[in-house]
Amino acid sequence: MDEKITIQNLIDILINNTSINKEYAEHFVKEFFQLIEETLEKEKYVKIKGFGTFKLIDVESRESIDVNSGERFLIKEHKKITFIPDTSLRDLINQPFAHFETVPLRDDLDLSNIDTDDGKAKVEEENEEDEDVDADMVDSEESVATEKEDAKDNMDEKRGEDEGKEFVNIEKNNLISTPNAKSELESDEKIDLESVNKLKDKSNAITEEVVEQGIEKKQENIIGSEENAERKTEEEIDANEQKKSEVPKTLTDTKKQLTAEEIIANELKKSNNLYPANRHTHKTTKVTHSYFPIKILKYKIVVAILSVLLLLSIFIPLFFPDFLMSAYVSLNINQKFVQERKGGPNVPNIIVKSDTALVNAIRKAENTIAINALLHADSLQQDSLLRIKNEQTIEDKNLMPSFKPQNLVKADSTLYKIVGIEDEYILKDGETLTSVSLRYYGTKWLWPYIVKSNSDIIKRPNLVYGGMKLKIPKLVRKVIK
Amino acid sequence: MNNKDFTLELAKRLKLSTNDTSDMMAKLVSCMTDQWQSGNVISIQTFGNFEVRKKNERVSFHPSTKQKILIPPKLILTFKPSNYLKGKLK
Repeated sequence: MDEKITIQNLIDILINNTSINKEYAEHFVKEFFQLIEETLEKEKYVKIKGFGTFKLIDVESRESIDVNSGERFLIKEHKKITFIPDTSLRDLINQPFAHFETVPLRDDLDLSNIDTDDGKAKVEEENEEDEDVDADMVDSEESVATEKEDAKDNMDEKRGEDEGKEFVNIEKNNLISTPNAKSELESDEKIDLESVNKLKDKSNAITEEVVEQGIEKKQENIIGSEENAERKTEEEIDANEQKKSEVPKTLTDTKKQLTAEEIIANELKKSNNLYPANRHTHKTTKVTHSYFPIKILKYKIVVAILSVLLLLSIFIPLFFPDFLMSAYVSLNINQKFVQERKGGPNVPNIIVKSDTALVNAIRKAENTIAINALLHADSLQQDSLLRIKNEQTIEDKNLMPSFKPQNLVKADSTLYKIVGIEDEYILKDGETLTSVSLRYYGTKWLWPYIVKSNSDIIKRPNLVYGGMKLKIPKLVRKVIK
Repeated sequence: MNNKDFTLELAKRLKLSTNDTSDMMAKLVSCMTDQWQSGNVISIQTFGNFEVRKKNERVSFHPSTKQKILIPPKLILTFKPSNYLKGKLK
């Protein structure tokens, strides 16, 4: 990165890449640029495919003002060399940023506070100062103080709304406008209330009063400032006050609430509880200030959850290779019974039959076929014209087990006898006994036989290594009485 | 001078066939492109500097509809002629 490549380096790179004569490459590269220079001088225009266009442009003389002395002076006419890269080259160079697109913005969008970080910081400072004053006043003039604080809250929320708008606009191609921002605001307020409720539980009776007053005032302020959001927030506030800590949670809200709670928990830990009343009221306002930290924290939590899921999905198959399969089978069994119930009232006759088929199937541990039978039965139940066929299929299913025993053996791996040794197999790295079983018998569930016939080598069936020489037993089905 | 004339002229000077010359040109350009893509500056002493620069995103107006648009950030290849070349071509 940011290396300076001279003509000599360029020649070396060319030689490495194309394996050509060094002198020849040197000659070529130098001649290449020399020719561009000369033709530019002669013809003022050189176009090279895949590279770009060099042009010599005449610039007319013009007047200008000396920056230092302020005197007018004339810039003489001169020539300017321009280079416009070829479209293909331009696209190649811009590849890292190619996914960006030009985004039309809404006209009424206020861009003034994108670049006014200083002003924002000032306002926030002022807010904090005011809050300090407010906190001091809490004991004497609680209501007034909370009113002021809430006014600040509203201001901050509006600010957050604006910022949210801009970000959303930039990120999501202007699809989202005020309503969403408002909903964000609502959720912000929710966070507030949630935190307030949390604090209520933790703090003493005095703070409770203060905060409750805060809620009431906030409610009033919200009504005053946000007429659209009014009703919803009112309802939410009511709900909050009734339940105190349990708020109706939508999916998106729960995340935000969680994060808010965590933040509060952290802050509680950090702060020493010298002035509980003041501190707590303070924190309720701080939550609103940390609009962006909440967002970031949310992302962090989401990332953490995802990584845990990823790890689980890696380790579960590693340690319990049969986990998914067994889950799948049990699920199928459940489905079976559900289907049974559903189909029950409509066509009782067939159900009885399919039931018997089911019972048989389960007894013999023939899950897949039973499911098939039931699927058939179910689909046919809906079609009363095909009843006869259905009966036939069920009969077929009852006959099936004796034809296809291997696929069906699962829990019962005692159905077979070992009759001699069929083959020898050298285990490769990463292979398990189930995979060997699958290879030789067409099913995973017969691995115990391999263990049985290799009991001298295999000490633990879940610990086998590449390079193990396994005897693969020949299996014959036992006769069922 | 367009690409064809340029290749012909270069072939004549190097005493090569036109095909070979255009092949070489393509290889040279692809080598240079690799360098630019990895963020390097190619500096040909008598000719000038080729550098990839990042242009920041900006808000602009659509010229015909006068609508505000956000122009995304870009990477652009820039050429700055050397003083020698400037002086020569004046």
